[in-house]
Amino acid sequence: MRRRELLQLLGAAAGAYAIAPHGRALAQQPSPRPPKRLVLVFVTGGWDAVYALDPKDASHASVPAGTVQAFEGLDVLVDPSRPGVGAFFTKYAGISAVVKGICTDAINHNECQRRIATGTREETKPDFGAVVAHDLGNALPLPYLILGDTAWTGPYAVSSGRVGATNQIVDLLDPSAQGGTQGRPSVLPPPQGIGWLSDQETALLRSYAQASVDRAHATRGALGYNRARVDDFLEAIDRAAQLRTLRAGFGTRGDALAYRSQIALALDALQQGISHAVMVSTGLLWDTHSDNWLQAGFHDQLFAGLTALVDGLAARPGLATGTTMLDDTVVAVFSELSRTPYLGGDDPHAGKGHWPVTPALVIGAGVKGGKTFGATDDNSGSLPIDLATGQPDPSGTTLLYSHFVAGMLSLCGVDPGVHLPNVPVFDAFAV
Amino acid sequence: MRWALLPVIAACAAHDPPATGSRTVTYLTPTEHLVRASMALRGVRPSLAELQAVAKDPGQLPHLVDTYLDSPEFGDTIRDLHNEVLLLRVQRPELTPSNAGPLGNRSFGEVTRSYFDEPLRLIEDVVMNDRPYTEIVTADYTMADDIVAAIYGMPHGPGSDWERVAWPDGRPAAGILVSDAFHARYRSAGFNYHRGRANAVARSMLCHDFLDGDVIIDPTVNLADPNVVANAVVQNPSCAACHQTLDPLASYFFGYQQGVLNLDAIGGYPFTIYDATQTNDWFLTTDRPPSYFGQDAVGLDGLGKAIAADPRFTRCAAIHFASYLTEVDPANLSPAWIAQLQAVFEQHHDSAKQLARAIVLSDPFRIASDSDPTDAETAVGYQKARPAQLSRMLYALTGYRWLGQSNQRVVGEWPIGTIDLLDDDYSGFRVLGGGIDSFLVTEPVFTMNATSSMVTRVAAFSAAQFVVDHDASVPLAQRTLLTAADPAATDEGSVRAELAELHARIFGELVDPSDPELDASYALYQGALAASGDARRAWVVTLTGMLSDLKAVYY
Repeated sequence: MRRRELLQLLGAAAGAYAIAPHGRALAQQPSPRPPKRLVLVFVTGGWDAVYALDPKDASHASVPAGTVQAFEGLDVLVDPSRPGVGAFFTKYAGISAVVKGICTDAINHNECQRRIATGTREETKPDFGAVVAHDLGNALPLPYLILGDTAWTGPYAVSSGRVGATNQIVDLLDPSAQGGTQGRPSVLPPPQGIGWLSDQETALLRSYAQASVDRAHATRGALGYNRARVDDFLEAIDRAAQLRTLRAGFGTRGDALAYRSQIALALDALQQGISHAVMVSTGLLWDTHSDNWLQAGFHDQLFAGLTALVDGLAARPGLATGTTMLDDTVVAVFSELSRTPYLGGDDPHAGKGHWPVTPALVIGAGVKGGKTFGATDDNSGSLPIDLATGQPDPSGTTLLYSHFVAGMLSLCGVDPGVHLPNVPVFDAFAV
Repeated sequence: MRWALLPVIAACAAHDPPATGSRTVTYLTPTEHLVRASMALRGVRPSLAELQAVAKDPGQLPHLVDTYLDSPEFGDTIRDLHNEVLLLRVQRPELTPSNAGPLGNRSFGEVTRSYFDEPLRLIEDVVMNDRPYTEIVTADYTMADDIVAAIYGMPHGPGSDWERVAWPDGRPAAGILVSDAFHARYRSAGFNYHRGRANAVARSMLCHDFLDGDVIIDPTVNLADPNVVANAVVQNPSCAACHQTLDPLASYFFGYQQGVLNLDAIGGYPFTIYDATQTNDWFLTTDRPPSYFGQDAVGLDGLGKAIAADPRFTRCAAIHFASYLTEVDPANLSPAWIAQLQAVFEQHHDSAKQLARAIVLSDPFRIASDSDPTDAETAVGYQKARPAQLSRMLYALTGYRWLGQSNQRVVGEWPIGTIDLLDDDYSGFRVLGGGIDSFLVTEPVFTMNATSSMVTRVAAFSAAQFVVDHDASVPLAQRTLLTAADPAATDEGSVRAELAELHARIFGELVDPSDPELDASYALYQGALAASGDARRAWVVTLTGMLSDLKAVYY
């Protein structure tokens, strides 16, 4: 048994006996759900919830043009100026759940991003993509593929990898191709006519690394932190070797990966068994302290991309025979912040500040589609809810970022008690 | 005079049981300690002569540390260390001064690096000249190369060297607090009124982060309405708790432009985002006079002096230096040790060199391992070379810099040009190698993963190719790394003699050519020779393995 597996078991045991801060025993942790793959679409910068997921009346907020339309059980603001929103819900409301009123209890981007992604305030904790990837897909070459800009890997750094601002990873996957082809820097000085390592040489280097690791295990690297660093060293070599066999799935070198390019790569990485979880970012400048009207176009692009993503999941074969990827994959769409109810500043550049109550959209396998969970009041404040049902309850609990992240872990088939002990699990949106 | 005893303690105690703390901890041997000190301070492996000197007399180690502290590579480390704190080295087009006028032919990498390194160069200048560290917030000058000088309209001699220079607009003497680059990195949105900048100062220089606590927002407060916010931060208890100190701190920075800066659209130079005429605009907005945590401190120069006199400043510096040099999260550093370091720092008139010296000669720095399974979980006995350290290490050992060149342009504007692939994010591999981009990735990764493994392997292969080609084509006296035997010789005696020297140069291990510790390296060489039949190729493969080995990337 590996060290971190042992620690997880110990953590699980501790979680099983967890007592709430007020002395009340926590609810029984739910039975693990079937494992699912995960795509995280992180809307970094702060979306304005009134543009789609949490419509408000104009008497309580500055709202854009549009009408509230019911899609199955979801009330969404739509408008011809942002057709992507309506198109998505027309097609996929039945497999989508909206979670409203998630409190991040902070108003700055970095802090809120960490909280909504990791369920904690700690910088050393992994986000739920890293956790799901590590716990459920650690045998894959790159369990957690970070295509977007913001992610926390914590102790699972060895299971995670970025592709780079201009998809530089392709140069590493195929070093022999370096040499100044269009869009990539050539290495200086150029190779001296000696080719990249042969398979035989690579095997020799693997043996050399193994011998070095064996010696370290017998000495300084026998236990604890050191042992983990030594194990990571060899594990990283093996993961890199696996990745090199999957070069074709990583596309071409070029400018920063656009949102739609990330979606295409995410689908390939999941389908080809490269990764178990993928972090995607829209790459749009959502932080509209000025020109809040830009949110309209951003929402249109966001949801058009989601349609492409879910279309792709539905069109590709799933893990089980006769299924599609949509049967075993969850898509989580979330932002660290929403925007203040009212505009500030002068037209046409009026903007909105940060608002610490934000919705999320959960799509795909195991999701109670067509339903809304959590709630906000007319002033965009979070309403207390019954965590078991997700419905408003004056005597209930304020929905926190930690509750939501625990629920996402539960939905994906990970025991949240191992990673977020003592945190109530809000998974009402999961079947 | 606690500091004066440190060298003696370090020299005598190496490998001995500790006097205090864990009884199960094992410390590095003197030569291992030298390797870690050299890598942490310089990113360079010690020379063979240095290793031999310490092996013979461990008391030499403190003297060698002193030479490391005076080396240019320690200056690089100082800039890198402070960049991890200040997060200045960003490569984003919207934060890059345009390629107008005198910058017309400069590359994206050159402009971003020079612009954001200006405050880091000032810190380096203070530290390397061993002046009081407090001058980083009180200095009446900054540093400029030809690019920085062109941006601000500063005088500059021929060439591109960094020189001390005064701000041409006579802005207050407050070191990095008055740097345009600092305020460009920490932009302030329209209604933020410099609070973000104030918190960046408090976080990085006082280790006081206003954002550490939860912020419970009263939903009846319209955060988008500046008038409502202005009232709430004074009247609403949940807001006022922080804002009564944050807002007066922010009021010092009204001289710097708020909102979108549009640096990429600058039409001509000189250009600055500082305007002294706006210094008192707090009166028109937040109506909070400048104040430093309740103290009267007038102007930015007064702010700098107040920070310099604040005991949190030296404590925070001790935390930053200790965290960087030990790769231990600040939250996990021993408060008692930090207090000791702060005392040493202050006793030496805020000498950052003496602070760094005290750290690398201390017991916490030289931990090798812990045999207690519980304590071993937090005993950092391996440090990982950051990408910048890896770059310097490879260069020092092989003479090779992993550079790339492209004629492509970033968003159609600046040419990519020539870049250090281990020190660049836009086209290079700094983040993939475990480093930071100072914007989206703000903490280095201190272990290996798939991408950092690939980065290390490709860099090592390229360096190995370079040095083997070089050393095989020049006389012995001009060789860089393969200096013990003829690279063409394949007999066991010659190869093992070379490997013994390579183990010393790359791993810091002093071993005899017949030592079994060389067997794995010799087996690698033999296998590579058998595979290709080419002695030079065998050395390329062997050096690739050694330069990317556990004992090279960790220290």
